[in-house]
Amino acid sequence: MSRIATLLEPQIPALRRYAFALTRDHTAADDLVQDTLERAISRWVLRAGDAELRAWLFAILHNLFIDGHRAQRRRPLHDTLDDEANQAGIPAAQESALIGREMLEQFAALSQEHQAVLLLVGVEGLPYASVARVLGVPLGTVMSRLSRAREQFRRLLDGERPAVRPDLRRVK
Amino acid sequence: MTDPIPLIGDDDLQAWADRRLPQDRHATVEAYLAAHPDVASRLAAYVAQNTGLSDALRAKFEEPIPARLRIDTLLARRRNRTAGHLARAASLLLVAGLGAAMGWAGRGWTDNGSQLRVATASAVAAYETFTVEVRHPVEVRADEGAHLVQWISNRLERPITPPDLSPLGWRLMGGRVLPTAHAPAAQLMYDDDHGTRLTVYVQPMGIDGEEFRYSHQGDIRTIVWAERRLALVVTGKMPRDAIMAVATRVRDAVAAGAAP
Repeated sequence: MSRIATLLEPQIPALRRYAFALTRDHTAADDLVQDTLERAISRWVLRAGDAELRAWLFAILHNLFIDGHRAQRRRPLHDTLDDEANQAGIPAAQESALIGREMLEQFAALSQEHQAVLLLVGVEGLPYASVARVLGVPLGTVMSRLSRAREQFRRLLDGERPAVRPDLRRVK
Repeated sequence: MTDPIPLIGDDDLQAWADRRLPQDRHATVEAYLAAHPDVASRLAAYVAQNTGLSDALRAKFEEPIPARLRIDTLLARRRNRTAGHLARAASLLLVAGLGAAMGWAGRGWTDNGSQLRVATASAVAAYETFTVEVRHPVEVRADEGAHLVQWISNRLERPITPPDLSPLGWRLMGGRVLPTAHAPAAQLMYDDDHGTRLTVYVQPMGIDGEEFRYSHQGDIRTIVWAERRLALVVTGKMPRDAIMAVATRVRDAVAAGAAP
């Protein structure tokens, strides 16, 4: 296996997880990961260094996702969830599948910025400074966005409507 | 005098929820949480968000990597694409040169779809011209088999063998060479016991790997595709299923090496 494969392949499961959480569409997620990997390969010599590889890959994926969104609005959430339910090849249901599904549905109601920060910090475990690099914002913005995202998510999970439409409160 | 209240930042609380709080801040934050149960329960909810989301996405994380995302696959695709770009750049040069020579712009020739449309239009025009011919439907008849194959292969500069469609009830009548803006193309004509005629049109083109595209103009139906740098068009007045069966058989013959 080539060196590039040795370094990139271990990152693929996490990239797929992040892409799926953002798109909630298995095929779209893998398309996004494929674009990410292709871009990473084509810019391999430009990467900051192996230690930063993870953040670099997430940044590429995140930017591709945002660019894709500007170009094309996402399908309505309920459509994608229905599709997903009908789609073959979804990993076998686990005990927590229902709870997880409900959690993901609530999660989908958050703004994209809030989703991204919760995933990068809480699921992917990226250091705050790396999240700042992935999202292209200052560290302080990451922290305040994280705080608001968690509070918003908590209210949604508690069954409250968000007090403010998250999209409208965009503080850089 | 009470002790000064230690300063707690929101970032301390977030870091606590993420288990990333620096060791020297632990005691301070723990003490604060002990005194503020409402904040403590909020933070507990944040911790649950992290674990809940991670659990909900665990199955995705644990899936095997699809073949199309393997790095070796992507590297191979990249090599092919680079080669493809070079080939396309070369054919663009050719088209541009041709366009300049003939005094028209080579617009619309750059993508496979328009090339296939051009091939289809040529095939339909040839079909309409020659299938109505009673005396000279073909230039070289099938009973001059070896001559037909050699002649067409020479003019198209690659081995062309008419596919055998007899299992579907179609007999080879013969073929002819046709002019196109690029290079000679060939039309092979078949008929059945009712005198119905169909044609298989073959045009060398710099494209490959295009799946079947079905279209119809009036009652003339066509299926076009491209492989081995040939555009192939099956044309006939017959039901869609029937023309699909012919196209499938021709494609299989081409794939098996009888090109076509």
